Amino acid sequence: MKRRDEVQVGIVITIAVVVLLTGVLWLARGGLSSGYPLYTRFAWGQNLKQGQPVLLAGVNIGYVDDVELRRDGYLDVVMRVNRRYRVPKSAKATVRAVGFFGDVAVALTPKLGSDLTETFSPGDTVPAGPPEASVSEIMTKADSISGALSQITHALQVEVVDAGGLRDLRKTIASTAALAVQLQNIATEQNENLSRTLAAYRKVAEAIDTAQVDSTVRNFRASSQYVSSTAARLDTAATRLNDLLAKANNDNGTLGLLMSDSTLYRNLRNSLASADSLLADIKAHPGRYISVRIF
Amino acid sequence: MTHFPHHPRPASTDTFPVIQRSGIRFFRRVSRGVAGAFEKAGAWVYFLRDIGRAFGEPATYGPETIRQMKNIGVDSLPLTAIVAGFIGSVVALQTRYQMFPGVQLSLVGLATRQMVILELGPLLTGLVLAGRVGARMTAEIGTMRVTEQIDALETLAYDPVAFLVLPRLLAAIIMLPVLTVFADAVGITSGYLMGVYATGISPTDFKDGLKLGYGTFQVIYSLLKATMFGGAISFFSAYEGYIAEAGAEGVGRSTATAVVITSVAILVLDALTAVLLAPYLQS
Repeated sequence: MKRRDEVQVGIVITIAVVVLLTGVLWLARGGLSSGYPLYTRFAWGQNLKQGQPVLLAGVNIGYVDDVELRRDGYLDVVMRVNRRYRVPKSAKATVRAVGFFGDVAVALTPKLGSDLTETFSPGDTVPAGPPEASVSEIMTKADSISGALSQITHALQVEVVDAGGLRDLRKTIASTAALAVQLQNIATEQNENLSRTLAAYRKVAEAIDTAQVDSTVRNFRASSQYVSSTAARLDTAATRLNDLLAKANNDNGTLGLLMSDSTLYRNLRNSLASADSLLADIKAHPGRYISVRIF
Repeated sequence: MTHFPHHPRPASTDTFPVIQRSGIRFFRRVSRGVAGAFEKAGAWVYFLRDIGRAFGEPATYGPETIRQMKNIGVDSLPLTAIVAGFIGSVVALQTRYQMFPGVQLSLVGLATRQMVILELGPLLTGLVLAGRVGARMTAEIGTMRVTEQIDALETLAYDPVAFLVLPRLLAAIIMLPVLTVFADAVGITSGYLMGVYATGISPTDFKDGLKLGYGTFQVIYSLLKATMFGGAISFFSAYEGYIAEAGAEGVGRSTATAVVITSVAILVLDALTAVLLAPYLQS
C-alpha cells in the first residue's frame, strides 16, 4: 500500500463530509450561521417542521430550528433568525402556506405604522397572530363548493333537462316572443287609430266657433238662472201646497171637514142617487121636465 | 470455506416418446432452475458467513481496504461526476420544458433536488460502479482463482476472503456513499447552472425550490441506498470471481454474470428501499 493512496482517500472523504454537511445545513437552515433564537407558539396542526423558513415581511430571515409538541394542544416553535435582522416588537407570527406543495413558513408580520425601531431581543417570544387559511382548508372549501355546484347541476339536469323543463322554457320564450310581436302590432295599430282620432278631434276643435260657444255658454248660464228661479218658485209652491194639505188634513177647516165628514159623504151619495134617479126619470120622461115649444 | 456440490448426471430420456421426453426435460429444467436458485442463495449465505469470520483478521484486510478505497472511490470520482453532471442538467432541462404556464418556476429546483438526491444520484452511481468496479473486482478475483493464487494463499494460511473479499466489501460500502455525496452535489450544481443559464430561471427561484419541503432524512435515505448498493456490488462481484471456473472463458462468464446480478440487485434494492422508506421522506 502506498502512502499516496491513503492521502487521496483521506482528501476525498474529507471533502465529501464537508460537502455533505455544508449542503445539508444550507438546505435546512439557509446557511451556516445559527442566528439568534426567537420563540413562538401555535395551535396543533400547522404542518411545521425543522428547517422551514422564517419570513419577516416576506423576506427570508431564518429557519425553524425546533418544533416541540405540547400536550395542551399547542406547539412550541424555536426559530433561528439571522443576526443581520431584527424583528419589530409589533410583529405577529403566523404559519403561511408557501406555494401549492403543502410547504409552510413562519411569517412575522409587523404592524404598519408602529414603531419599527423597538425590536425583540434574542430569546423573546413572538406572539402568534390569527391563523391563516391553509391550502388544505381552501381546498376543502373549494371541494364543498364544487359538491354543492354538482348537486345544483344535477338538480338542474333532472328538473330542467330530463323533465322537459328546458323544452317548456323554450316554448314559453317563443310564446312570449310571439306575444310581444302581437302586442307590438296592436300598439302600432292603436297608435295609428289614436293618431287618426287626434287628427279628427283637432279638426272638430278647429271647426268649433268660439263666439257661438260663448253665446251658448251664456244662454246655458241664463237657462241655469231661470231653472234656479223656477226651482225657487216651485219650492214656494210646494210649501204652500204643504200648508194647504195640512189645513186639509185638519178636521176643523172646511176642506178638512169636507174630506173627513162621513155625513157629508153619505148626503152626497144620497144626493147623487137622487140625481141618478132624476136623470133616469128625465131620460124616461123627458117631457115631464122639458117642454120644447117652437113658436 | 465455501463448498461447491457436484450434480449427478440425470437418466437418459432418449427411449421415451417425444411428448414425454419434452415434458420430462422441461420439468427437469424447471426443477434445476429452482434448485439452482436455492443453491445459489445458500452459497451466498455461506460466503457471507466466511466474510463474517474474516472480520477477525484486521491485520489482513486493513491495509488492503485503503488501497481498494482508492481504486473504488477516488479513481471512480471523475466518471461519477460526469454522469451526475449530465443527469442533473438533463433533469433540470426536462422539468423546465415540461412545465405548463402558471406553474411556479421553483418547481425546477425542487424536481432536480428530489430526482438527484432520492433516486438518480445513488442509483446511477451504483450502476456505473457495477460496471466499472464490479467487473474489475470479479475479473481480479476470478483470475486469481483460475491461476490458483487463492489456493496458494490458503496454503500460506492466509484467509483469501479476508485478504481479497472483505477489503473490497468495506471499501465499496464506505466509498459508495462518498461518491454519492459528490454525485448529488455535482448533479444539483449542474441542474442549477442549466436551469439558470440555459432556461432563464432566476437563481432565487431555483434556490427556493431546492429548499422547498426539504428534510434531512432525504440525504440519509440517499446515503443509505448508496451503502446498500456498495455492499451489493462488492458482495456479488467478489462471489462471482471467487467461484470462477477454470480458464479465461470462465472468468469472462463470471464477470458478465456478476455485472448482471449486481445491476438487478441494485434495482431490486432500490425498489425495496422506496417501498419501505419512502413514507418517512415526508416527515
